[in-house]
Amino acid sequence: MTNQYVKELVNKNYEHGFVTTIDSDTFEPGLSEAVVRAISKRKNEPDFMLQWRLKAYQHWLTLSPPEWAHLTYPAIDYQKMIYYSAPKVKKGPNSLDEVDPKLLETYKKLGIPLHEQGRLAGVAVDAVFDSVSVATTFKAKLGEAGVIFSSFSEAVQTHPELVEKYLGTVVSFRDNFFAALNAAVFSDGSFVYIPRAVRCPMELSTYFRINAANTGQFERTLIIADDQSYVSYLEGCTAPMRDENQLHAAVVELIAMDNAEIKYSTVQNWYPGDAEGRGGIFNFVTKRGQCRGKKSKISWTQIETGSAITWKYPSVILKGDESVGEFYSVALTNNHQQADTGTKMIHIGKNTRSTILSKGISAGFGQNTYRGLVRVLPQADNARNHTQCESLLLGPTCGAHTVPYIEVKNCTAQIEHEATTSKIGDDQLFYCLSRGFSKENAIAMIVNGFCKRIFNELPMEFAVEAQKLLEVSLEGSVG
Amino acid sequence: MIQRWPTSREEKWKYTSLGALSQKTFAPSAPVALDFYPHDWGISFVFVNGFFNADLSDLHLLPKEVVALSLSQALKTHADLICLYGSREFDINQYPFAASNTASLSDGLFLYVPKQCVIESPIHLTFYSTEQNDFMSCPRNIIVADTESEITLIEDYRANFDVTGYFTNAVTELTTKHCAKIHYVKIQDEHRTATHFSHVFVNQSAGSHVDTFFVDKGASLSRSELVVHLSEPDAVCDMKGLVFLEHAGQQVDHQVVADHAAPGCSSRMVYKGVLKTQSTSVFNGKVLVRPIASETVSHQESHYLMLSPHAEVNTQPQLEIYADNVKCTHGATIGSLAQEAYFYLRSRGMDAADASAMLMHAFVSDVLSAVSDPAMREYLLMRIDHVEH
Amino acid sequence: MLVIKNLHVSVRDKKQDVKTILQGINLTIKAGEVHAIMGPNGSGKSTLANVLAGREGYDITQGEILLNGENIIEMLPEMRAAKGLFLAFQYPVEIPGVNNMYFLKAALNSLRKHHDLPPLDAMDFLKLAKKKIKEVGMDEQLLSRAVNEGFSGGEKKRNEIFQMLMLEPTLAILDEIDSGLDIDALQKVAAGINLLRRPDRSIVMVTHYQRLLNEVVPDVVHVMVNGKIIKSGGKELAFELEEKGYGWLGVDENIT
Repeated sequence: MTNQYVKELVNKNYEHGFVTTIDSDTFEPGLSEAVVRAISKRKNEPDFMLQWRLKAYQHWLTLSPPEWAHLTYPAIDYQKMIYYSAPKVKKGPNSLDEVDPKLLETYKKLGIPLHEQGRLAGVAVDAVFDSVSVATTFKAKLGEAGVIFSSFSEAVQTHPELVEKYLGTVVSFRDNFFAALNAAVFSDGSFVYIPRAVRCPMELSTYFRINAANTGQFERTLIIADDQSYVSYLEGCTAPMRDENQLHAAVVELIAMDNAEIKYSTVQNWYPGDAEGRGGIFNFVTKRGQCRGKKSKISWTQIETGSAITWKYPSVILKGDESVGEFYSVALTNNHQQADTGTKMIHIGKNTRSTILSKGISAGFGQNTYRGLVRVLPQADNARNHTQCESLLLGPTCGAHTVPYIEVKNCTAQIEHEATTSKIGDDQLFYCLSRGFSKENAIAMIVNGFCKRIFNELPMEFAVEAQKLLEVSLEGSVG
Repeated sequence: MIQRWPTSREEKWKYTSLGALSQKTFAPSAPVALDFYPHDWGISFVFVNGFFNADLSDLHLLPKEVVALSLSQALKTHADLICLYGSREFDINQYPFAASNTASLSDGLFLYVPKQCVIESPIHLTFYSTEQNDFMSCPRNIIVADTESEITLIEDYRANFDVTGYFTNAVTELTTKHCAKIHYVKIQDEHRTATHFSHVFVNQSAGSHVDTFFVDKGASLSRSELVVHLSEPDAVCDMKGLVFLEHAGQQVDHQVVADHAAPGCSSRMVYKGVLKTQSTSVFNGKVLVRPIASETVSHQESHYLMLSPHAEVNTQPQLEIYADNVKCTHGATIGSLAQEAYFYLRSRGMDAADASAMLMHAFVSDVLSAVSDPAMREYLLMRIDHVEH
Repeated sequence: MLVIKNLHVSVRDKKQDVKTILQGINLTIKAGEVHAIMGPNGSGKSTLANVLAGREGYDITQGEILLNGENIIEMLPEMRAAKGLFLAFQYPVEIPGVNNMYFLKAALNSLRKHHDLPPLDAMDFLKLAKKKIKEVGMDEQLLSRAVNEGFSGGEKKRNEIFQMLMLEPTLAILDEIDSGLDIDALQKVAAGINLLRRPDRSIVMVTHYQRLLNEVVPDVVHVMVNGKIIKSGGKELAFELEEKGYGWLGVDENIT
């Protein structure tokens, strides 16, 4: 029954695919030590940052891109890419009035509430345009609570001691090819510090936007939740429609101290390329959290509907005793999209627990791989993991793959893993049709039901957005 | 001895290091005279240090129409049949140790079961190692079950207590033609100092049925690759494995692939292991469903019980699916004995050893009870409990 | 209301062999009538119900199905629903993650849209749903659960009747609505069906047993064997069948 729908391809336009014409300060393409130095200089960074970048760059030169993922894409020419592009602003903006109105217009089109009276009242937003952060809202209110929420470059200026202390301690530049590249050339991102015993009074949010052509976006996010603190952080991303591929290689580091909790949610909607697979973002992202303190908790929720290529494994290192790691994911690949995504749960402390719930949806010619590692080290007594992976296939030309790695070196561990792959049920579909639903609505409804448990993990406003996004992304593929 | 040593950077060799093995040299095996070998039952082919020994074998139950020859003999007289049924579905060079087996082949069995021939008695191939130390034998078995025939085959590796450090590098090819059935059992009970590598390649035609049952308890390092190619519609393959590790430092590695290359086939994998000592068990099971293989049903399970604080289990139950009308599931668990049950048994007066033995038997009982022939089930139980070295 | 003329239906099995299930069904159901179709297992009753609702996988080799004069053979299932046809499934389908209330509201509003009626808002819908769910004696809490997920057999069947009361079809086809029900549940289901009887609405009950027909008294009873209607009559035909079995009609009861 679905096959018939697949044939009824409807071309649905990517609704965030506009380009903003804006004056920008852009480097020549190419990567060299001089470029790394120039970025650091442009950002007016202290010496420790420059030295760290240079070490990362030298290390990157010794690496080659990873080939183990279930992804096929043309080799990326790192010398053809632009490593720095910033909207032209004299100095960093102090308030929204100083931000280029064209930029604000862009974010308005994206539905992002930069103005403090915006739609999602109660959400503080940091917006990153190409490589630099353009505005952070609700600063004053957060300041009262002692929360530091700023662009990364600002944090380097205002809180260099915190940056120096924590940067690269979860994702070292030695970690992988893209992490090394990011460390060398990252130009901005978000920085969050929640002091001891503070429950962050609002959701923090960052929107990433790639605008300039031929530009790579390399942002870096660092979130530190001190003892007994709590923060919920949201990340959204969009990019214009372009025929060529653009690289996004971000790094996110989370650190949770004793009894602290970090909830990190992503709605990833980078431009996925057109129906023939032209263009789209190559999304190679390293995200990792460390439950450093005891009874700490890190929870990742991701809705991945965009990008031509997604390579992303938000992970948790469960170092503190009784710490908890969670990973909830919906990944959708349509047309010629490919996603190789999953998580790693590294159990080090005693009585640590992790939960993995992954839902993959493949349509069109999409290839969707769950790749996950659960590792229990010898000292991690009484570790618990439960993993559930479900894949839904919509149509005969897509693929769904499950590649879990389970490594246990402690006999007190209890590890459970289950996975299923099936196509959308003909019975379910017929049942809905016979109750008067259109094919498209029936499929959207069944897929939404399939993803329900993940959406429940998202803050309310984002759950609604994620659901709509999923429907838009499915349109055309299932008719 | 081998053209290219795989490294742990390769996905399939991630958990098994060949460092020590690659440093060793092995002498070629030589035929050894042996007067007596007690065979358990059925039709018996005995190979000593890799070479067929006709005197020790017992073929009187073998139907006349069956072609059963040592491979060295068959290569001379039945080269045409071997060419016809040799595993063309498999790129043997992709498997470095299977390629090495081809290069330094010692002996093995060639068995051709003609159309509609059903052999009731099990065919028991025993590969017995004795007298020589540090030798390598490369047995190769080619088994063909023609249309609607049926056989039970036991491939059995055992050793005398006096041998050490030898290396078995075996390859078995099973071919089932239209609606044929092969029940295949492999028992690996090598000497605890031995290295045992084996490849079993299965190629199934339409409507055929293969079940495989691997028991691993011997060798210091054992690795088995089972590759099942379901090349025509409605074939069924049922793969089971039991691993018992009792010697410190033992490692068993199972690599199992079910390759669905035709519609309507079904495959099922159930592997279980018990690790009593500081030992390592690896399971990498992969179900590949090719675009043509619609209406595939596949289920995969692996369960490991860790009874030693120094045991290590690495499992990788993979699904790679390119067709949409499929139902594929897998499950994996790793843990220790259920503490409540253990306590319950002990509170009823059982000592720790008896209680854990009982729970271990319970743990593997569902796999064993799936063996439909009661005589075979009993034989397997006997071999599992029996300590040879 | 419904006219079936010389309907022949076949299916292909796994080996692609063609098997004919219905061999020339003729049936006329007038507005307001309740018909029962009885017959042994495998006689083609459920096939007929599914073909009427438009399930895929059946080859209609001959014949016509006219709903209010319009041939619906080529019509998509959702269009048939919009035209007032409702199939109560023998095995209602579970849809994890989809809320029962949401499902029903969306279904009802898609039908209303078809008839150029404004959608019911959440409040009006809820009021209506609560009223109707009482009529089938279903627990209100089932409204907030996922569609049929984890429902008992009886709950699933009652949910079908509840949906039918909500969607108010003009032609309801009830496929073994009585199977798997205890006597209490059967009476509640039957009460729900009786509520629905109206001069402008027809009901077809496919059943194996006579006991439902004590509760919902049919106007016409048909006996179907081997894909054909071999006998039709009044409600007394059902009693005769109950008493004498199908053997009385010269039929081997164990046909499957």
